[in-house]
Amino acid sequence: MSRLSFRPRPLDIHKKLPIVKSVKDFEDDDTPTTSATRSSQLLRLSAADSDFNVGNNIEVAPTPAKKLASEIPTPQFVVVDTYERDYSRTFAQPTSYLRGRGARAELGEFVEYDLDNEDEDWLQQFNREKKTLSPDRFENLLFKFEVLDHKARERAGVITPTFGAQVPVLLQLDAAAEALQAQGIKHVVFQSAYSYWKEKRERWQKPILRRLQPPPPVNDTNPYNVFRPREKAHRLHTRRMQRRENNVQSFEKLRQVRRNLEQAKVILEALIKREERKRDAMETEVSLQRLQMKYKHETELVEDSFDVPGGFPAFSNKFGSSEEEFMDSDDVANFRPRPTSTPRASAAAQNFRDSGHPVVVPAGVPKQEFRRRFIPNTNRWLHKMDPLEPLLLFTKPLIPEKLAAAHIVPPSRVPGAKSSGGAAVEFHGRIGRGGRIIFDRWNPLSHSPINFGNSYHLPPKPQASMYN
Amino acid sequence: MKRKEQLQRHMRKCDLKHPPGDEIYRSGTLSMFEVDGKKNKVYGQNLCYLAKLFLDHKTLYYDVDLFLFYILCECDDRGCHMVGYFSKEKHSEESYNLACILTLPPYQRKGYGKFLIAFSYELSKKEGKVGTPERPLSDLGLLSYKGYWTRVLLDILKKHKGNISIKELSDMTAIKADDILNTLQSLDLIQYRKGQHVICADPKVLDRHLKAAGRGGLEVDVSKLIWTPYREQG
Repeated sequence: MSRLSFRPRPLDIHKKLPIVKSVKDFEDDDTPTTSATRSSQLLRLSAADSDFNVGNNIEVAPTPAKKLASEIPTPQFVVVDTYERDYSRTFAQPTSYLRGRGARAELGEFVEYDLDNEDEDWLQQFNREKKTLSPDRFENLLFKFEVLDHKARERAGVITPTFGAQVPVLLQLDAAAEALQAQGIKHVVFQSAYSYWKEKRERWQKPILRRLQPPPPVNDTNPYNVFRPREKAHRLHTRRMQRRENNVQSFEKLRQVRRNLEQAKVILEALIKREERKRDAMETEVSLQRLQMKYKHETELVEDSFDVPGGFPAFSNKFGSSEEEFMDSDDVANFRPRPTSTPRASAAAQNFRDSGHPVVVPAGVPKQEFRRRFIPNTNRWLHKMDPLEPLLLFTKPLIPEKLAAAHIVPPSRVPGAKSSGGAAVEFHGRIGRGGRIIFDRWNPLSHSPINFGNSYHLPPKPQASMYN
Repeated sequence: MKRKEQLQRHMRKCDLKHPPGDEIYRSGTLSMFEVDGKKNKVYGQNLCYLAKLFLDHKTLYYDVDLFLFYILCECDDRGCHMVGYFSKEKHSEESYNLACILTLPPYQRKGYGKFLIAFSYELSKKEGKVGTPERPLSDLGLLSYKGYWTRVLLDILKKHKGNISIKELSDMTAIKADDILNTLQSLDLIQYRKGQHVICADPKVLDRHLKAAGRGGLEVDVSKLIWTPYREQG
């Protein structure tokens, strides 16, 4: 058994293949094929023993047809008595092959229009009293109306290549009467025929002669509209075809592409600028933080200079004003206005009034970075900050209610712990690295216990007073 | 024409007793007429309407301008009477040599359909191109084409001496190589032995397949085909 035949191998169509006629070459005696394909295997299994049913699928089809044969209605026919007259044996086949007539491009003498049921009924009605108009002449009239109207529209330049709105009727009664004088039809009759035609046209909204009906537009989605025009070359999605186009349409498209690209360029340039500014902002922020850290460590050295009472009001004013100042300027500069700015300022002022201490700018939340930058730059004023308190630049202070809600109990005071002033050590809660809640009793930076009471830490929330 | 009088009136006017267009084949009582959809638009459209009655999957989306209609007729002293037709694109990107094919119901099961398929390939041979029917094929269409391909290819294999390539078969028959491969493979006639592909052509086997594929239809006498491939007129 040739297992190799299971694996499909590409077949070169240009290579000559040997035609093997002898059965001896095959592995199995009577069956001409080995299991070359799974399908043949299945067929063999399902087929009858002797009759090899490779053509199984072909033979299956007629069988159901045979079963259905009794259900298919057989066509009936009736021999018409006028058959011989209608289809007279007058066709003489020439010995040479028949040639087709030239394309009847122009609307010529041949009356292309045929009366339909509607027309015939109307004519019958019209002729009820007296046989005034024969069907042939009526047909002729309608045809001529169509032709004349078409010519009038051509002259007026309103021929549309595809069917858009309704096709207007331009032929007037007088013009028609004039043109068709030679017909020798009584004017009254003529008038009735004309008004019938006009009414029909208005009802149909398009010519009643098929050849004059414009095709539906290419983009028409109505499934009942048929025979849309196609461009000269059958439009397929091949790159080849697109290359051949060189008309106004493709020019407009290219123009549009160019406009789009230019706009994209402008946007991208603005984007680059914005990102550069962002980077600069970030860098200055980082250096600010570094400065603050530096100042924080150096505060103890310059603390003394602040103990001048007189200096406070000035400072406070300065502070207040600077607060206002940078609030205003910040409101302009900030992309996101700080909702807490006002409570902060008022809290700061309040605290100031209450405690009489210089108010420090609180350790801010990250969003407040822009605000803080203005204080040292504009005032050269070092905030009084508790050197003992770890300055944690980017954390929010803990909110007691939330702690309670989460069932977190701050560790109770440890009596008897060492402290510089003999006061009980309180735990200072903060959010540490990774969002963990940490209660410090040891200032990691200054290596001394935390004494919360002296802290001038002013959290951004108005509940700041709680800590004091 | 919904009423007899209308038809009679029309026939008094119109003396055409055969399809508009050139006769390109005549053998016995069979004739083939080639009708240009652009030159005889109303005829083409009406033919499509008629065909749509019997071909459910046919679309009438696009106009007949880009098509040629090949009308098969039986001729007698009353005229040339259409029994079937097939349509073909004037220019086909996918080398389709047949778009729609229909034998009118009263004339089915007489071999006209197979004649039409064979005729479409004769035209392709004259053009020097390979051809294939437009996809997707209907069920009946696939059946008919499989039968045609089987008959043609197996007839050649029965008589051929020596080796042959798929390409050569394609050149001889104007059948696309893919169709040839599919046909031979579905009949299990292509096998892989001793490191190469071979075509199995055991006469008994071939006869079995040929029997299953059914009789051929009416034959096309190529000598009676007087035709030049379609060329765009300026």
